[in-house]
Order: sequence, then C-alpha cells, then structure tokens
Amino acid sequence: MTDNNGIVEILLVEDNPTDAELAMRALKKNNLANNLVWVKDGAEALDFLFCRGTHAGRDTKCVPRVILLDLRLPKVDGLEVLRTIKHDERTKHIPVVVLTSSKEDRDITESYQLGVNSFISKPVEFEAFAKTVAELGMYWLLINHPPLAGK
Amino acid sequence: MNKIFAAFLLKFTFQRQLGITLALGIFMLALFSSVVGSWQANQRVRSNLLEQGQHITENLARQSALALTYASADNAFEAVNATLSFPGVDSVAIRDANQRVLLQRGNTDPAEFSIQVDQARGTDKKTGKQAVAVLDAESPNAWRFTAPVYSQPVSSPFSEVATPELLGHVTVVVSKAVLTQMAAGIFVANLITSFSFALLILFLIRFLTDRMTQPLNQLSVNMGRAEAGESQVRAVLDGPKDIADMAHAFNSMMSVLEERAAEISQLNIDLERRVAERTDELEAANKELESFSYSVSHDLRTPLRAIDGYSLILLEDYAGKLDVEGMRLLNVVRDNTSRMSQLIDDILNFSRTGRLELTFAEIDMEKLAHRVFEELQPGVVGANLQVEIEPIPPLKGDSAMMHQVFVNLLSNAIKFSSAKEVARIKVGASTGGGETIYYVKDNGAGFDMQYANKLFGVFQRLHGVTEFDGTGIGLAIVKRIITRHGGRVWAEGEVGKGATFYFSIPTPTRNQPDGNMQ
Repeated sequence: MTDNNGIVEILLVEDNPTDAELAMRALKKNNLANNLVWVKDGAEALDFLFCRGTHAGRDTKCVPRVILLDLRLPKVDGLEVLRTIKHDERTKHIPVVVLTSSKEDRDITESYQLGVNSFISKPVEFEAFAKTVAELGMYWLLINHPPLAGK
Repeated sequence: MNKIFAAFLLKFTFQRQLGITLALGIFMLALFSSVVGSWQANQRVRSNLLEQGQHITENLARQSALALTYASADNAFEAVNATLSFPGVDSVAIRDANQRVLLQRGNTDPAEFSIQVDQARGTDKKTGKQAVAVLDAESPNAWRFTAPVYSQPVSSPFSEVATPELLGHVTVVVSKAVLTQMAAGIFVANLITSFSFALLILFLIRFLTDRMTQPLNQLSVNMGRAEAGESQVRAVLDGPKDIADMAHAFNSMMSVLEERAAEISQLNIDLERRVAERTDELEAANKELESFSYSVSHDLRTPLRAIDGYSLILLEDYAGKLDVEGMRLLNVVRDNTSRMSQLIDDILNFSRTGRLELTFAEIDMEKLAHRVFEELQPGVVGANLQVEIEPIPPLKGDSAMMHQVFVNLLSNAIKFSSAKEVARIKVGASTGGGETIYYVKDNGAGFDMQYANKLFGVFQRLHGVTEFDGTGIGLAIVKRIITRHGGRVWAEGEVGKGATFYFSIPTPTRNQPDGNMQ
C-alpha cells in the first residue's frame, strides 16, 4: 500500500483484518491513510523495518513516522517487536504506539519499560475507537516533530 | 513418729537408708552381745575366785592350828606370807577362840563389810571334821572368807579319838579387782570384735548397694540426657539382673521414641513437600486464570468491536437503503455490543479485585467520599440531589480499592434515587465492638428485604435492565474488597423508601501488624 515515492508514514501491525479495516477506515476519513503499510504479524513487521525477507528490496532509509503496534500477534509477539525496535540503532527513534485490546497493567508496564511512546487501549465502541485512532494519527503525523529520518 | 520415718524415707537415698538402718541394728546387736557375754564370763570368773578364796582360807586355817595352840604368832608367820602372796589377797587375820587377834597382816577396814553373808561358824555338823571356809561378808570391792581352826587330832594309840577343839578363826580378805579387771577386759574384747564385724558387714553392704544403685544412678543420668534432647542415649547393661532389665527396657523405649521422632520428621518432610506441590499447583492454576482473563480482555473485545464497527459502517454507508426498522435493529445490535463490553470490563474488574495485592495505607474516608461524589457529579441526571457526608473516621486499607467501594455504593445510591423528586444521600459511620461501620443511605427505590442475601452476589439484580441499567457486579466487587479487608457487608431496605448499605472494617489494635489481611 505504499505510494509511488516509497514514503511510509504509518506502519500498522495488526493480525485481525476487521480491526485493521476499521482502523484504516478511521484514518482514511481524516485523510491520514495515504502512506500506510499494513503487516499481519510481528515477523513481517521486523522484515519490513529491517528490509529483509519479502521486503528485501526496500530502502532502509525510508522508515515510518509512526508504528501502530498490536500486542497479540502471530509468530513474533508485539512486545518482542517493540523490544527489537527499541534496541536497534536504526529504528529506536521511530515512535511506537501500542494499540491493543488489552487493559492489563502488566502489558502497560512492560511496554513502557521497553520504551513505548504511547499505550492506547482500543475502545470496543467503534465511534470511540475511530475517534481515538484518528486523534493519534493526527498527533503523530501532524503535531509531533520526529527527528530527521534515516540519520 | 510416722512423719519422721516418712521424712527419713523421702530425704535420703536408698543406699543411705539401708546403711543407717543396718548400722544401727548391727551396733545394737554388738552392744547387746558384748554385755551378755561379759556378764556370763563375769559369773564364771566369780565362782572360780570364790572357790579359790575358800581353798586358800581353808589351807591357812589348817596351818594356823599350831600357832593358835601355842598362841605363837611366829608359827603362823610363814603360812600367812604364803597366803598373802596369792593374787588378790588383801589381808589376813588370825584370831583365837576369844576373838583376840593373834596375827593380822594387810589393810582392810572391817567396817567395809556391811553385808554379812554367812553367820555360821564352827564345825561341820555332819562330818564333825574341821569346818570348811565360808564367805561371811562381801563388800563392793572385796570378799571376806572365814574358816574355823580346830586342834589337830592327836593320833595316839592310847587315847580315843578326841573331839577337835575350836582354837580360833582365820579371816582372809580377797579383793574383787581381778574380777573387775577381767570383766572389763572381756567386755572390751567382745565389743571390739563385734564392732569389727559390724564394720566389715557395713562395708560389704555398701559395696552391694553400690553395685545396685550405681547403674540406677547411671540410668537416671541417661534419662536426664535424653530428656534434655540428646539423641542416641543408651544405658550400659550393667549391675544386678533386675537393674540390667530396667536399663534394657529404657534402651528399647529410647529406640521406639527415636523411631517415632524419625517417623514424625519424615511425615513433616512429606507434608512440606506436599504443601510445596499444592502451592505450585495453585500458582499454576492462578497463572492459568490470569492468562484466561487476559484472553477474555483481549480476544472477546476484538469481535465485539468488529460487530459494532461494521454495524456503524452499515448505518453510515448504507443509510439510504435501510428503513427505520432496519436502523433500529442495527442500533439494538450496537447497544448489546456495548453492554457485552461493559460485562467483560466488569468481570475483569471483579477478578482483578480478588487478584491484586492490597497496599495498606491510612485513608481519610470522609475526604474520599467527597472526592468520589465530585467524580460522579457529571453523571447525575434528573433528580435534585442532596448529599450529606458526616464526619467519619479514617481507616487503614487499600486506597484504590476503597475508592472503588465508594464509587460503586454512591453511584448505586445516585442511580436508584434518580427517580425521586429530591434524592437524599447520606454517608455516615459508627465505631464500636472492635470495628467501624460505614454506611451509605439513600431514599431511592429500595429493595425487598427477602432478597437481601442476593444483593451481593455476582450478576444478581433486583431490578430490570429497563428500570435501572447495570450489570449487577458492583456490590459483588464491594463485598470482595471489604472481605479482603477483614470486614463484612450487609444492607437494609424497603421498597420505595430507600436502602442503606453497610460495610464494617475491623479497628486496628495496637499490637496488630498493619495490613497483610487477605
């Protein structure tokens, strides 16, 4: 779903297609889904970020401006993905927002210990969910100033 | 007497008792036998001495005849000397028929002899011969023998046998000193012999009782060591058979005791191992429960969001193709999704109140009640609300959980009194009987007291969903939190008039450690 320039603004890591669709719908409504990549498990997310496997030909310098990360993921678990991202020099500056159904204290605590930039519990009601996703997209893409990418 | 004897039996060891009794008996026996023996010996010696004294006196009488016949002391001189040379002879006297002293040797006070034993003097009537000597007087220190002196029969062919003529008397005094000395000697010898035997026997008895009491003492020392907790204490099988049997019994008792102790410690080890196993199992079960509630929180929400999301998409994107009834049905779907979501949250909340560890701190309950009311204020709809919070004592508890208690009770009070024109809610407390009782009172819908026991059950509701919303978990959570704080919950109410919910928290005593109540 990358556009022609290879610019990626949002990396959505979500195994559930309906949740992904709902999230993308909410972002699209606010015109934030133009440069969005959706990967379905933790392994693919890491492949994408480190340009390996099916994403081998990608330019490493093109990192997303924000990663929306679910925690319960097939293959590589969300917390593991977070750990890898925050331990690697190339990716540690990318803002990561955990977007999960979990409200468990231990998930929140551990995510912050691993260096997450934000932890958001998905509301069940779609209206609230859509609002939340739209707001966080707006914040990280439009309000927040990231460091210069790829440096 | 009995008391003295009993004290004697109690105070001294068996060995001492036996020794004292035997020593006393043996010494008495020795004394008695010495006395009897020496008395007997005394009698025998006395009769010998008497016989000897008579004999000496008779001899002297015979030898004095010539001297008396001629009234010449010189003639008797030799005989008197010979008599005096006998041991014990104190004095000798020769008198003529008229009691005049012819010759007297030695010193004897005549007054000494107060006891006149025999007054008889003269001839032996039967034989007609010269009379034998008699013991005529006795004093404590001496005997006095007297014998008559007759003229010597003249053997003449011319004359007939003439009657012997009494010429006088001889008196011999014999001292009793010999007898006294001998008696004393015999008594002392007897006494020494008896006492020597007594001592010998005592030593023998001491040796024997030692042989008996030594192992007993050793056994008692061993028992003391065993009592003090020393292990592997065994008595030596020594001493007389009965004592050795006792030591053997002690040894087998100790073996049995040690076996029992080993069994008990083995049982303890088993028990501890089983407790550890059960704890592991419980921990595993707890982990499983946690992962279950994690799944519930994560996996049940996702499909719900999809149902809600796609219903909304339908409503938004296909509004033109749906009639009013279709829209209503989709909204029913969405309402139930929201309700389901609330239920999931409540279940998780309920399980969390049981799982989370309590952190005890001093809580200002009055302040907390005010704060919770302020938090709930925005949700209050309709009724004119009058809140009264009395001064209530603080407590030691988990502040987040106590916050939850007030949220649930006060939101209930607000909810169930919302239909009233003026909703009155009162928070108060009373202390006594080792606990503080807090209450939240409202003038709302109330409840029928016959269902009072159902109020605090999970998902128990006394009102229909259409009447008042809610999942029925709030009071169950309150009960769980208060129970974990060591308190109780109960309620009073009347339909249409209101309800009062009480919870009690034990008043901490001085020596009670803070918190740790589960």
